[in-house]
Amino acid sequence: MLRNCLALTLACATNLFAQSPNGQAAAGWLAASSHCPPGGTLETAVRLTLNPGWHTYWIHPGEGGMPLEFQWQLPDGWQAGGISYPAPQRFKTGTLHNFGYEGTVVLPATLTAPAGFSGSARLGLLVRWLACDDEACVPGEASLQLTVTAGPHVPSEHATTINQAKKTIPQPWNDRAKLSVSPDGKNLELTIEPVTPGQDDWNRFEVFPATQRTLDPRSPVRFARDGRVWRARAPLDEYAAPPIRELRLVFTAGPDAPPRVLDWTDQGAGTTR
Amino acid sequence: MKTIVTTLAAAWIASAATTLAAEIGKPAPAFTTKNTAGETVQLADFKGKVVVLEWANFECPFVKKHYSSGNLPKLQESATAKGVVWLTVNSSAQGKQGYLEPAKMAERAKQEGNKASHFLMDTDGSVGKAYGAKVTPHLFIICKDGMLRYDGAIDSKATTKAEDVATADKWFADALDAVVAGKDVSNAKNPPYGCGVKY
Repeated sequence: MLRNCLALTLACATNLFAQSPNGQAAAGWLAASSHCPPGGTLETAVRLTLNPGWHTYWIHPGEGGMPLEFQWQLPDGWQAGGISYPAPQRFKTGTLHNFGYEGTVVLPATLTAPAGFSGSARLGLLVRWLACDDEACVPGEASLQLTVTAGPHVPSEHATTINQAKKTIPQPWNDRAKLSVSPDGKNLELTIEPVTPGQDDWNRFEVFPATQRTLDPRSPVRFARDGRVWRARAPLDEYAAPPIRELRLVFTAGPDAPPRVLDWTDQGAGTTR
Repeated sequence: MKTIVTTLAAAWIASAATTLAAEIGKPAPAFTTKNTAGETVQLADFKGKVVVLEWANFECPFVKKHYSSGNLPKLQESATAKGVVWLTVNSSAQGKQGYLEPAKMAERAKQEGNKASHFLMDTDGSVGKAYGAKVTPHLFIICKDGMLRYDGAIDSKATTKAEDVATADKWFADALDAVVAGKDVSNAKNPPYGCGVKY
């Protein structure tokens, strides 16, 4: 019995951080704790480290590229809350304009254990990515695993990394500012109306469309003050199929300002009178 | 005087062909280039026919997906059997990924099972830029009247996995069937997926 416990502990230590190098990147799955209480949550994160000069892509990759793909392989009763995407950077791949990541990107994911969780569980996650530089693109794939033991949380060496990663996830800001969108030929008129005027400088934020086929990835957008509101005129994506019915925008302003997300949905769509 | 006017007019038309991006429902941009056999090929050669333009780079994993699975060779074979002119285009600049000198490109195309009517060596990128070819694969369809009818992806699954071909929505193939039948194309313009064209 003791030997089995020991073996499990060793297995936990190595599987807490399973590595796999190919596709110009190394992928690993980090867990904030080696243990998880029954019915409790387990904070984890996928860490992707790109080789220098290579990058991978955001949920909206821009022109070309390919978003990350995740396939969970979880035992019965385990739930995955979904992968959270850190705010991206803007870059070019040859002539193409893209949104994504270089260096190391850490993507948090919260899992929930079943109410009857006991003993240990082996969790699986398949990750697929595309890494490109100006010369070439290569696909990568990693089959990652974590072993978790039932019991009170025991913070691991990765807990800090995962907490830090959560700060790079755009925070919903819809209760503090209202985004509205109206069509204007081949452009979109964007308006941000802060709930409390004068508190924010929306001009300092870089703007990223999370919704495909909306804003042209080739044209960076900046908001300018107009009295109590902020406005921007954004060219439509070449492949936009109007009418645009929803838009999610991510705003980044450097390490001192947490990234934000604003959402707009066309309220007039689908209403019956 | 007449010669000067004609030359100026020709130059204006040529520059217009490259500055006006290809637009659905508008005349497809004219081009003149060479195939892998060194023969001159012009869009005007195919007047009255349905023409497909397929941008390719055999080193790109997205192109490999559609050749290793047999998807593109099958599409090329069935299309050309119906009288469609299929032009595979490589716009890689010399020294960039995907470039092969013409004889080697012809050989590589054959190895990959390519069944195009012509393999165009667009090394200076002029055809690619006239059409706004962004990635490989990027597909365009021109109807018998010379109008552009499709500009987009080969299918709906933007992945590098050959097994996704069978389950993807066949956007390009459906559009080609519609154009050949003289019907409207419902999904005429959509974002193509692939590796950037290496101009």
